[in-house]
Amino acid sequence: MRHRSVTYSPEVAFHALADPTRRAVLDLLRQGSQPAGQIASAFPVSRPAISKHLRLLRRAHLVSERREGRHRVYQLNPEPLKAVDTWLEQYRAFWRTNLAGLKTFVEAEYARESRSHKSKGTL
Amino acid sequence: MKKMATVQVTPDQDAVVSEIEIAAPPERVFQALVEREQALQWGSNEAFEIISWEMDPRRGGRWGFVARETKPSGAYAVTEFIHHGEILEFDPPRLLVYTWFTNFHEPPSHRTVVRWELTPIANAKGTRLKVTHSGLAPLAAARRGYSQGWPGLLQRIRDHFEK
Repeated sequence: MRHRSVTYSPEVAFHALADPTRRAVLDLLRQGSQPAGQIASAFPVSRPAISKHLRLLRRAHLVSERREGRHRVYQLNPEPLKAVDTWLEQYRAFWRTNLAGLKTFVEAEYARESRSHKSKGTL
Repeated sequence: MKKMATVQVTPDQDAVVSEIEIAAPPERVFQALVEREQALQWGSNEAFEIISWEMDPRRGGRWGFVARETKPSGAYAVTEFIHHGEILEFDPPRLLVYTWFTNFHEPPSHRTVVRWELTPIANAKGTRLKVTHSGLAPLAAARRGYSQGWPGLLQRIRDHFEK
């Protein structure tokens, strides 16, 4: 499955996204790159805990890390979210199809009922 | 009310939210969600046929349905798509919430939740129907089942529908 570009696994991305703190870290990085210390100070959990989360996000390729002097700076990489989005598209299609079917059915039935019960008035 | 369904994914990637407007009162739409004869009709489409459907319409009641491909493609690990769960909230005609388990999730024991919300519009002669399917993000291994044809099939259904 490996072509010229990197293939991201939705499985790894899902695991990374399953944790609310990690999702909050991604939200924070959406505003721009930040050093590890600054990310840690934004959360009420310990620094080692944040380091662990960042490591996991990096392994999922959701963030990239670079050194700037004594700091490790983290940057958001939204690419792997495409794999997640592709997977979720199946559900979007599923509900779109089913709601459309429900609408067609109920409207047709209701229109027929309304016609046979004139007292109900018209829509 | 000719608008198509809108579909969105929540920012945490956990839920699919879809909305549609229907020219029938909430009582009528709610019936279609919980009555077997009606669900059997609207639940089937070009690609999938509902072959069984049941619901014990009360809080704590069980529900389930089985769907089959109209033309077996041999593309799936399962031949019958079995869905089932328990009703968590039952408040006609405005709210219906149930758990949603299926045999094509990995693991099949993974709990997702489907929430139907009905809001009266147009002097209660119409309904805004919103469905929220949550618990999807942590389905770590589910993509295997879906990647074996399920996506392509749904894509075809959608293409057919949007043509």
